[in-house]
Amino acid sequence: MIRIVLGNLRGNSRADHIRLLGTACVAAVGTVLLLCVMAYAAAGRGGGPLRPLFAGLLVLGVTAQLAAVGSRLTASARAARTELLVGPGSEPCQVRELAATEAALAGSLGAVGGLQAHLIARAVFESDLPGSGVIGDVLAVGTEVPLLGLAFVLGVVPLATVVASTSVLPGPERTALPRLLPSAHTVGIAGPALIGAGLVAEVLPHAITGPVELPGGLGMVHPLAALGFAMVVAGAGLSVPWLVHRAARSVLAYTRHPALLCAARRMEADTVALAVPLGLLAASTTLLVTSRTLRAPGPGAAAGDLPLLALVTAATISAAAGLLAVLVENAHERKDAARTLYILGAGPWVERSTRALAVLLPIGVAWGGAATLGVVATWPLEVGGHHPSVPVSEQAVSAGLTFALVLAAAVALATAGVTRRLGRDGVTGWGRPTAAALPPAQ
Amino acid sequence: MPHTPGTGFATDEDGTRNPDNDVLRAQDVTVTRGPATILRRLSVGVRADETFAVTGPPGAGKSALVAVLSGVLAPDAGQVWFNSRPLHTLGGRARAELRRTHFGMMDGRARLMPELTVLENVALPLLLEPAARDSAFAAARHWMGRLDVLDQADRRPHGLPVALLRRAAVARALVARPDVVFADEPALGLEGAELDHLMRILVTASRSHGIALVLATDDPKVAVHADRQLELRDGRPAPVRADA
Repeated sequence: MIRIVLGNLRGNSRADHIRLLGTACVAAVGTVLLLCVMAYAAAGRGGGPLRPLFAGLLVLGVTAQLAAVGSRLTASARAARTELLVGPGSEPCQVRELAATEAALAGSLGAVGGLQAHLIARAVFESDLPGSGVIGDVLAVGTEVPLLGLAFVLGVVPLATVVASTSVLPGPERTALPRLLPSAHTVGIAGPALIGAGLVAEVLPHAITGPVELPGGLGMVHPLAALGFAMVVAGAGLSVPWLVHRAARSVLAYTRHPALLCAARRMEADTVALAVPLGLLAASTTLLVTSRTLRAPGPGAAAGDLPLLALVTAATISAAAGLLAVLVENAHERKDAARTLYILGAGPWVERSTRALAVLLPIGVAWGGAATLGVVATWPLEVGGHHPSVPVSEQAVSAGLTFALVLAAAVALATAGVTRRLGRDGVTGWGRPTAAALPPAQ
Repeated sequence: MPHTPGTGFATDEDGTRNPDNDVLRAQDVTVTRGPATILRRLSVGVRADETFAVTGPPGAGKSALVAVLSGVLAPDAGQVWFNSRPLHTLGGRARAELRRTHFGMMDGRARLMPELTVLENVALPLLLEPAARDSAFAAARHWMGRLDVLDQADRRPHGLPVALLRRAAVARALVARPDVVFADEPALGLEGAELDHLMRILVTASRSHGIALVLATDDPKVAVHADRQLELRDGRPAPVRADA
């Protein structure tokens, strides 16, 4: 298997090279961050064992998600290359084994590289270079990472990349129409149910007993309200797949427009792929909007928000990577669709709308669903912090709105980019077709 | 029907060419791609409800000729007429409308839209027109039934056997009852009984509905189904051999 991986390396597939390099880089950055967290924990600056554990899990989660996105994006290229190396009719397990070997190799190299980078950076910033104080502080210079911890990091990072890379194989389903699994239907029921129960839990304490002043600077938040809020966030995340799937089925049941048909079929096929990042986004938007919910402003509030902000950052990075995967992985299909429509004589409006809707509809529906769920989740909140149930600051609301708007703008830009790119590669306007649209040379 | 050797024009019984009977006609067509000349002052005519095959070795210009006749490609020089409408003067939008309303297209890769089901792919030419959704799908089911692919209606094209993909592509080309069907390498990848079955259905359906069929192929087993053949070499009609 290693011979085949090396064959891939020697091959001229750019996708393979980028995937291997990307996995190694992600593993290296993950290792550096984990080593920093461990150094913090060893120095006793983490404020107890829970926070470093929480931070470490976040770093591992993002590392795995990025490795999975890389593997997903290049799944078809890898399958084609494996057929070349193993021979036609390669079994799925062979592709999986190849992916695991490759991810282990790249992950291990990355982890060792990350360790080296961390050691070199520490050595540099132990010196008296100007500005080394801040970075040295981040790297926890002067604190030794325990050997056991070091071995743990070097083992767990490649393992995370292997598990993530093989979990997304064999790539997006293209043969049969995906049906929502029974478990997903359950999730579709569980999500709204959680939101409803959470909303009741948020409002109930105030309705029964009035505001409760809790000790320890937690502000005016009843534990039941906090639990309700957590339920609403979880429900929001779970409801996105169900919403995406239902919306796709509804469009398919009524439309006759080819652009909408294509978009709805893609949305249906990408239900899970879209749901993971957008579920994360729904949760992180909600968390960001209410980032001060569980902690009143005052001394130490900024430090108290750090885990929350780290969680939001990790969710956002993972979601952005997931969205990118959904956008990029179907580019080839979109190109094929554009050429077919041109040959069949579709009008320019149909062609352009097909290109645009293919991206806009799935992401728009999912993002709209996520935003709606976010609004529902934050409904009991009141700007200004005077609400007896769950207070929220004006700055947090502004930050949340900005976050949502920037995300919408990013989706619009991505759509424009994909549409423009396809226009260049396939058929340019309505003049002479480009080389790509010409009949194949014989 | 006899034809004038080396021109591809349909001829009447007395051997004279009568372009007025041609549903499709190309006159002195030249196509270049970069420095290469694909078609060199080629003239050809196709009559209504005939099956016409363009043959020749790879690189002879068969696909380019089909692309020019169907309006996918505008010629660099020369004229192309469809039922007295000059394709060579039409803009891209008008040529696209012509393809949509009068032509059925089947390219060498049997390209179906990968995200749509086979049924939706077959119904696509009707869905591009302001046809009702139900009648479009009903017509698609009818043609899929005739081509024995109805059981694949709800599947997506990826992973389907080549024979089924080709049959679905034939159904898509015929579903809108066009005046002309262009089939570029319609049986590529098929052999034996499957090839014969596909070609028989394609030719029979075209004849029974009065559809002109233009084939581009280098496979003699496909070309044999045509009423008339034009062999191309280097973008020109092949010279008539002495032993022919």
